[in-house]
Amino acid sequence: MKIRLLFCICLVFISAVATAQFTAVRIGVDGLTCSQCSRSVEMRLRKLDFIKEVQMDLANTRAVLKLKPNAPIAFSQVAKAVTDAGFSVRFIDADFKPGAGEQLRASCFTYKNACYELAKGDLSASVPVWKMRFVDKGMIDPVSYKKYHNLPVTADCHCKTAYRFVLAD
Amino acid sequence: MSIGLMLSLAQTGRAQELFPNTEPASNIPKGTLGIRLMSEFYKESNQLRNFNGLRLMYGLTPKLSVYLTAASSNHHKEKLPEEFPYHNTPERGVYKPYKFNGFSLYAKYRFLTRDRTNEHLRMAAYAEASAVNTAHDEGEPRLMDDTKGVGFGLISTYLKNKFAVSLTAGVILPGKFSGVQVDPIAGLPDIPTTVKYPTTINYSLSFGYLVYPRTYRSYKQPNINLYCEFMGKYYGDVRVWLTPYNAPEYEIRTSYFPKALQAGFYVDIVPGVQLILNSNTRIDFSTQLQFVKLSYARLYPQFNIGLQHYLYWK
Repeated sequence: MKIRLLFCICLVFISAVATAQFTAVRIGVDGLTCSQCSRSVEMRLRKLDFIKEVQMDLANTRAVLKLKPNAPIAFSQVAKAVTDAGFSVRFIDADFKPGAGEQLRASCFTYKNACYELAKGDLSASVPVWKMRFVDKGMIDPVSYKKYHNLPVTADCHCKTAYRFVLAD
Repeated sequence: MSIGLMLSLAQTGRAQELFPNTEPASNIPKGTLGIRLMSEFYKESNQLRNFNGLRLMYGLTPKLSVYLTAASSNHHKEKLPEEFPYHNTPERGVYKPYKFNGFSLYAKYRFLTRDRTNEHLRMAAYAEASAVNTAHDEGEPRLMDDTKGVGFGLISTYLKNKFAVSLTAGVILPGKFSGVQVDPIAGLPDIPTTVKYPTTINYSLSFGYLVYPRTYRSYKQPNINLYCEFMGKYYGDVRVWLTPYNAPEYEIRTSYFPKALQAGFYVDIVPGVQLILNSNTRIDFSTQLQFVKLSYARLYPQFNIGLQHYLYWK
């Protein structure tokens, strides 16, 4: 009985420590014009092993991705899935909930072996959810990419896989 | 069951560039296999002329698609018509056996992509090659089922909201056909005949418009699209060499040729309707009608049917 009680207390304690994670991903797709095109994008996205569900919204040419919990997420693969289907990425937005599991520096953090560098501004751990928009080439429309790609790299993080992002206003 | 059927296309439609008879500049999605069955038929006296094709299409990369087409038809005999090329060309209403014509390859590379929300401009270059070798007795070549040879060209497709337009211009460089024709003098052997089909410019202008649904709710909704395509060719004179029995080979003067073997051009108008089921299976129906001049390779109206499906590998 005591062991059970101790186990429950431990569970409560562990759950009280928030785990860092991506909670939502939204992508905008340019060039989408028909339901068959939309289906092609969906089929490519569904092949990615970290994606649990894809909801296509052809009205706004967007998709909402539901992620498998704790799976490492390759955002470059999300962009590649869109281009492989024959279309272009307008944006990739992600909601990141900071917490245990990510290593935070002033302008970047690492999470599951990938670096995420803020292109401008500072990160604050006190914000409950970071609304990120990726600004790497191929992950945002070409006009917006030109706006961001000349921003200096702060080089706070060093990873094999690195993404740059800005925070939504 | 498809996940995520949150398709809600408000009050704006989306254009369709899935033209029934011409290729858009867009490609097959990478790693996707498309299968297309094509059929064309027209009435010729008491015969029903029919062409059937099976096409396998594969997206090698996001920008490069390759097609392999197998063609069969009852458009050709084993030998060229008697007294070819002076007259009797094209032979109308005679029996021609249904036979396999051969294979052709087509590759399309998209080199320009300007994608915007509900809008895109794309350009692609294509090349095609054919191993088809038939006793084709009209001047106008078609690599898919009439003549061997190569071809290349450019495709530009623009699409905005409900409206799609595509322009194709290309060149066909057909090869020679070496065969025989029956000597009209009884008892003499067949006459070896070589036909060089003319270099040809092919062109098309296609328009597409989505008419249903006005509001997307799911992938299972059928789509209905209307198309109007203008398709034609400009070609030169055929060249023909004969080698009668016990005589050297000689070339026939073009001025003796019937119209079907002389230089010419035409534009056909091809209205069509398309039904798409489950956002995948395409059923195309179109009618090819005479518009400017005419093609000697068919009689009007010609009816075209297509059935296409994509296989997405998991």
